[in-house]
Amino acid sequence: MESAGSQGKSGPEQAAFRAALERFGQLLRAILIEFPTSAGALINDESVGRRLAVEFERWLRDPASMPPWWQNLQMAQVFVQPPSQSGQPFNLGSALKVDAAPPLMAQNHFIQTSQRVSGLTARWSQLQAQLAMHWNTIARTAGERFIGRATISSTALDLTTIRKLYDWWIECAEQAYAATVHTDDFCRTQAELVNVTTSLLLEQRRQVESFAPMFGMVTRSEVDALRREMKRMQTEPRPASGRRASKGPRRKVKTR
Amino acid sequence: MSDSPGDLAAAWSEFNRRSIDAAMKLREASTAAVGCSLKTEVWRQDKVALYRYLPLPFIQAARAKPVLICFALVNRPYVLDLQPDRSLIRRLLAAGLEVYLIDWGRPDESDSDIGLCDYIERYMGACVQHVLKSHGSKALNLIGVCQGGTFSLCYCALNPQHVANLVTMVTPVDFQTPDDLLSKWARHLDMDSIRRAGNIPGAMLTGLFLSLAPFRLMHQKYVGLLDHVLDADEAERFVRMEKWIFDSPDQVAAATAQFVQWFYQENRLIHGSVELGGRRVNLQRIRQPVLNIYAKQDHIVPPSAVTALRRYIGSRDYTEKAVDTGHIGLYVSRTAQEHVPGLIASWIRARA
Repeated sequence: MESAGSQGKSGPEQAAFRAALERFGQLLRAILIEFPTSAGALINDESVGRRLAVEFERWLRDPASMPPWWQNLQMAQVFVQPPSQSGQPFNLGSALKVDAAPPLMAQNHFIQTSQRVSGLTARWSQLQAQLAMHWNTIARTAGERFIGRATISSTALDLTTIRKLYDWWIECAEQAYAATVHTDDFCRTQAELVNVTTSLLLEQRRQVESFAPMFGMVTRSEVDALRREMKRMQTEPRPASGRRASKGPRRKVKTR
Repeated sequence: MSDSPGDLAAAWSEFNRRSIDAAMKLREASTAAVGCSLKTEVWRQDKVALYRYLPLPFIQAARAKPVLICFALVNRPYVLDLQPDRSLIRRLLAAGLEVYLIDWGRPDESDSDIGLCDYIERYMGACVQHVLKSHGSKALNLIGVCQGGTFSLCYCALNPQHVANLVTMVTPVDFQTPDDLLSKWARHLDMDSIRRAGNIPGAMLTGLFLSLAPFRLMHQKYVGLLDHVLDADEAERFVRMEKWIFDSPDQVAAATAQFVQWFYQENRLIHGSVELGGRRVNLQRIRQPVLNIYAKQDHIVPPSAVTALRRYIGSRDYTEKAVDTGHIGLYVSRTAQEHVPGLIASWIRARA
């Protein structure tokens, strides 16, 4: 028997389960509020279809609905302080409130770093905006496809019907999603976003590396160098130990 | 949700009741262990281990060379032995085969320099040698799964003398077929920067795979649990699968960068330009019998990426088998369990 990573604990799978049910519950609630008197009665299919399409689109426009991979890319937000808030490009010195940072670092290097980070941050924001446009397209197309397919005429609006509509919507959303995420434009945007995010991560690491010695902290490069050295020592054959290794004549041990 | 309450208020309370019931069943099942067959570690180097599965009692050993299974780096291999009724390994044991499994372990930052050559030639090579030595055999049966299948193809092309028969399951060969979404997403990545950023967190990889079909995998799958009352076995099976899906080890920076660049971006495997330890991987050198199994509804490795194999290998004894399931379904679905292990066992025995 093997234990999996999250065994016994509330893992990401349980969070995903809760999130999915919460979404479906919201959908049910919206229908319940919109059509309170239609319980069990025949309802107008078009109005329900449109109402559901609005609800689904609202759901899709929520950033929390974005695929997990995209949400991972949001991590770069730690680098991004919108100009309207700070007016300055990100730098670790100010983030750490180290007022003395510029004098301690070479001024030129500091400016170059700030400019580089600023450029990357601006590009990162542009790419996020482009990705959001793709996401909007997916939401809109999914809604259109859904309205085109959702025919529930002469049907009582019960849980089974709503569940069926939900399945249709999932199908429409997957189709709209696939149509977008296979396009060259999307693939390039997403890849560049990953690349810029990585560059920002590396830039942040470089900044930490330049600050760490000021606080007497070990840097990542030093730890990596140490690991490499330890590996080298482990893999290299050990020299024969003690006297046996010595090529000189063995000393005779005096015996009493 | 097959009962029609006919009343939305009733529907709402029914939804709540089933949600709570499912949540409780899943919580009760959360301690379900994964991996069911007895195994013993017979070799280890760094974080890589080789396991030998103990033969099942009262099963007569088949007249066949030992079987070595090579799984992908991107997920844990216990999915092949998830629970007694969903275990490829157990069924191979029941067919009397000797089964070994390579477990790549859970790498950390100290492993970030490990490359594909280390994985395929050093670790996998050592595992093969260990099995051969233990059985006094010159060759074994190699089963490669997903990325592990790609590794197995490389190993087999470089060391054909050690592989008697090769089985590949959902194994990408042509990494640039038009329906391969992962390939399209990987095409423009700057793998040098990504490598320098260090190991890739497993959670990120899980997110990537879920993002291939996010609405089905992140929503519909869970809502579907409310369609009927879950029984305890069903809840346990679901929890085991979920644990496996979310249990991706971190990916070694160097090997991942090489894999994405060489295979996804440059499609080197079919062009014969993968080089490991100074030797070129030429698929034409694979002349032993090959059984290539794929899933018809695979959204991770599309069938077109798998079936390309027949065009590039030198083998004349080539069998292809399609199973009507998805990528993960090929490991655990009932359909796959009914057909795949029996097919592999009989195919191997016929070539003993």
